[in-house]
Amino acid sequence: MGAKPGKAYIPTTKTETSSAFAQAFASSLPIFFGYVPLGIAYGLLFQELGYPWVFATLTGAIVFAGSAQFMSVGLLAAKAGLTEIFLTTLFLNLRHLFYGFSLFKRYQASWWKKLYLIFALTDETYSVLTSKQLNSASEDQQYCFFVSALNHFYWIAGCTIGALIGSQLNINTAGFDFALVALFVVLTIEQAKKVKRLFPFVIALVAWTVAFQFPDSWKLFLALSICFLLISTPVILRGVRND
Amino acid sequence: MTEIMYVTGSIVVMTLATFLTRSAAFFFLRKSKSGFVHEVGLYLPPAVMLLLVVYCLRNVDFSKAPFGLVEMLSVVVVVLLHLWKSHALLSIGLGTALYVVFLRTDILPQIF
Repeated sequence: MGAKPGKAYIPTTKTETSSAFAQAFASSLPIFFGYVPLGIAYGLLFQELGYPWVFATLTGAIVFAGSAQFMSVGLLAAKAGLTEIFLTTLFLNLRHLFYGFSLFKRYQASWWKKLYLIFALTDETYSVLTSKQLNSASEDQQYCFFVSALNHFYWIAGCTIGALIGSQLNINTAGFDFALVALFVVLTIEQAKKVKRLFPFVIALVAWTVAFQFPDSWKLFLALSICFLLISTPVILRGVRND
Repeated sequence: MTEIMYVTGSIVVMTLATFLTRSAAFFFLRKSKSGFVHEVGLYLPPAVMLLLVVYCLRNVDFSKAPFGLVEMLSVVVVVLLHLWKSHALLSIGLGTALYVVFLRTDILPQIF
């Protein structure tokens, strides 16, 4: 099992008899355990701002960006200007710029489905989708759609529940958000198994060592940019040498 | 600006910023340079995943008690569990449960 030169090797399943939806459901189940507690945590925090609970639902449904939503709670509490909220969200989510590279070929469905897929491209959805691809293109498109939609639903549910019960009950959610860390750890291991190379991880640590020196809102985007540069430069150089 | 207008406005600008970042790659890649996109698409995800792990733990203070042991131990448990059973739900569930227990109780200082 190895990558064909110049062709991305995304592992395809051999004989899957279960439907695209069933597989999507199975793949998104870990996300369920991350998104619902995290969404509830967000809902609880949001509810403390004093806005009607339905706005937590709307934010979860329309923005659908966990880290940005958490940051926004602090900004809204401080009555930050809309420009500042826009820029902060932009910088925090700049890492999504790179996700399209890996999913570009697979997101070729009808225009409205493609639009939704792009809209719903979160870290977790990206992680799940890049670790598995179905054999037939049409099945894979359904798979991508269902994974995205299910994750979206879990997140909306979490945000709503959190905001609704936040005022009623005093739930101690301390530590629940570790589910997200655990999820990323699991996905890192899955990626390591597929790629079987050390260098992407070395690059990640090098990138982080550099990016860590910068202010918090810059860290992630910088680290990702450095990763992107370090990974794509050898590819470009190799292409140039072969011309 | 009323409160409702303000929070609605915040949703609008956040959605705009988010969708801008998510759709950017799809606009740049109209004419796809096949090999480049594929290779980057193959090796970028693993780097990104590790990055996200580190990013989530960036605020952990390793210089003061408990010296990040709570997080590190929980991560190690997740890693070992997943290498052993390859069951995502198990790894995440147990790892998180352990973290919550460590976080809320005094077990760790008593062991070390």
